[in-house]
Amino acid sequence: MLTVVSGIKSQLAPGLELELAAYRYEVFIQTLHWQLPVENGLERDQFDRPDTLYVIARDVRQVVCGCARLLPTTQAYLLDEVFPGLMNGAPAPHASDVWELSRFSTKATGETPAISREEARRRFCVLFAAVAEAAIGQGATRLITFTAMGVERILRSIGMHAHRVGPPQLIDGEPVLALWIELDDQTRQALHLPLTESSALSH
Amino acid sequence: MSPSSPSCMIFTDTKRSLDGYIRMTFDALSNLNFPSKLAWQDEGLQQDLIVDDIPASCAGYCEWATEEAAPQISIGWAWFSLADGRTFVAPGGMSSNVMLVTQAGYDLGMHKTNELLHAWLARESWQPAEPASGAGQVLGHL
Repeated sequence: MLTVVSGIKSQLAPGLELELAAYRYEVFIQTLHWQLPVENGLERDQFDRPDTLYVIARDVRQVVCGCARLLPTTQAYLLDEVFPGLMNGAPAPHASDVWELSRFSTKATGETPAISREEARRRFCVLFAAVAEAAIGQGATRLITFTAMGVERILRSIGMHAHRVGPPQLIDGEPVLALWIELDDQTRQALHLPLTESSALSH
Repeated sequence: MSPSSPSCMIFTDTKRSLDGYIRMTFDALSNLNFPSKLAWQDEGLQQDLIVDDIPASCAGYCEWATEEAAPQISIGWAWFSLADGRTFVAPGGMSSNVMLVTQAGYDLGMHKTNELLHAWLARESWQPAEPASGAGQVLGHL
């Protein structure tokens, strides 16, 4: 069973942001070998700010087992500042209803026994639903993100309304592409979230 | 429809809509040229498919794109091969930045666009050549 919390750093339980940074180090640095800033076994960067919204999943032992980071595109954000070339010639969005999703992971770390594929898929959906809810709660109608090819396939397999911005490009030797994720009824239905009011009224 | 009619001008142009989609008719899509055709093998995808009971002897991705002037039209799909060499599009469907529209300009929607992209692909020669070994290795231009 997962418990998922979301909030900015000042809203998180004491020590949770530290656990999150350690989890991110284990996933993104040690496992995926991303070239990111590291300090004392913790992964944080310039986009981990007081206004950054985190979504954090913990397992039955209350160990962090998933995370995501949401940034308003009205402020500086990763895709715009670091990888604008993924936007296929378009300007990166800056709008109050568009939030950036980054550092999404449901990778289990040091878990014994390893979780099943079904459980991994379930965790992915649970965390993504929490991300969508958190973003919608901030007024988002769309997410912009960039990711590896496999994640695009999973999002579409689940039934979410995701569409790429342009062709993938190599980053650290891996093909990566920018994606729009529409927080519309198609995505809500795929994530078992309540549909929009306009849709509910029509039935 | 006359070539100079407004809808024809709109839907054969590769202009990006505000939502990020490039809108065009199926007819316009099927007349596009894709000079960039890449295919590569991905062992992680192969393992994922095997866990899903798909007996993939190898698997990977194909990526096609129009010429480099932005916005590029991008269409990609995952593929797998069986031991006998037959190759298929993997579950997950086609990925693109295209929204197909009717001649009158109405969106066909994501599902119908996906179905039509499959139909378009069925008429194309896309199967990767002899797969090379090694995750992430580019198999070359098709």
